[in-house]
Amino acid sequence: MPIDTAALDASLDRLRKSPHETDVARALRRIVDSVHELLGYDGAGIMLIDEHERLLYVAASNEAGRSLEQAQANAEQGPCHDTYVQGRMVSTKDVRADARWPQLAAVLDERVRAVAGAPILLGGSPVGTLNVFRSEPGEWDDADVAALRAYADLAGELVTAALSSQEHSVTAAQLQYALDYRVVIERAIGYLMATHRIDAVSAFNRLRRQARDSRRRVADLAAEILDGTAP
Amino acid sequence: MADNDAGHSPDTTPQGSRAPQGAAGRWNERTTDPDSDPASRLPGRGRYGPSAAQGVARALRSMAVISQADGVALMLADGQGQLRAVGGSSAEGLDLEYAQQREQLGPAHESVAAGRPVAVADLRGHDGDGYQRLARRAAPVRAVLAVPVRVRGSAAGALNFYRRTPCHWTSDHIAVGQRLADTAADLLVRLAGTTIDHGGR
Repeated sequence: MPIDTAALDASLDRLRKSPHETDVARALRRIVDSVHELLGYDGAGIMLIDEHERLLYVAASNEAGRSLEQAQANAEQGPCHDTYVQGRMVSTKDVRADARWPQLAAVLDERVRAVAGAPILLGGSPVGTLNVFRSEPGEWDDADVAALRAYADLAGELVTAALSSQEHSVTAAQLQYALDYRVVIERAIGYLMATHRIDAVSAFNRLRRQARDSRRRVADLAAEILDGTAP
Repeated sequence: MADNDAGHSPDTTPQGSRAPQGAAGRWNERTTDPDSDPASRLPGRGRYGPSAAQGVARALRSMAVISQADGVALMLADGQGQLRAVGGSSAEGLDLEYAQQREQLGPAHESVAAGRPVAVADLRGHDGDGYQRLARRAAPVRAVLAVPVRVRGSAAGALNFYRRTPCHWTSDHIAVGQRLADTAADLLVRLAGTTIDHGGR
């Protein structure tokens, strides 16, 4: 690792004395602005998971892109949803014609066509997604994928550092919840996949729906499923 | 985006720009011998723990992909305000920074002193004896774009994008560099706020 830790320490000691803004959401918004302006897409956004396992925007470049949040919440399906659950890049050349998400076209802004999402990882587990879209159908090439993945990794470094610095903000609290409970939720999803012979997205939706219907947190239900006390 | 504006313009001539020695000098009064502590390159020895060093290393690699440069390296000011080599997306990036630290000059120093991006198309073609030594020490790096990393308006250091072949840095390169420098600042101030390990050294 080509890092001079002595020099890094000396520099961080100096920066430590300098007050700074404490909401990582602002830094994430700057990444969205950067992606939007530099990569030339029609929109970009970052969504993070909340305690109900809903993907919510912390930053979006415009309203068309923001419709991805509500549309996927309503349809319980979509490329960002899959990116988060599967923890890998997911893309589509035309989300409105993609058979993977048949419910989505009816509730999505018409200006959103080609969509790509990259997971934002915290401690190796997904806690959100960085997504981009174009208003015309089209393929995503290797350069698009590499740049999006690199930006998502940068966002992951930022949220990791925000938690390490014990930042006090709504976003940090949201991330801490995701970090604390991600493992139990992933294990419950795995259990449901094996028990019901369903894929990860279906297991995730089943878990989330059951939690919502019983007015419990997803993490609490996941723990009950794993210890055999869930109804 | 235009290449230049009055207060924030990079010099994209082959020789790059030279900051006044008086301005740059405050960064040059004392530097650490990069070879004095070879173990300092090892991860996990810092007071901020291995995660800080690893986070910087991963961020620099991501920035190299985004910028499509051959690599990205970082110099930051220490407690005395001296620019020190902190890291690179690859070993040659850290060596570029050690070369600038050793020679007490280079695009990073000029960028921090002037408070704006400084682009050097070819280190070997740059005027001055110091730059000739720098070019030899920094080989195989040839072209460097240095962008200030600002924390609360002040330059805390510089991010260096580099190529192994001579390169004319465009306004697009500079725009990407400035955005990534902002993200570097966002990351560094958070790493600086992490719990310090006082017992490990």
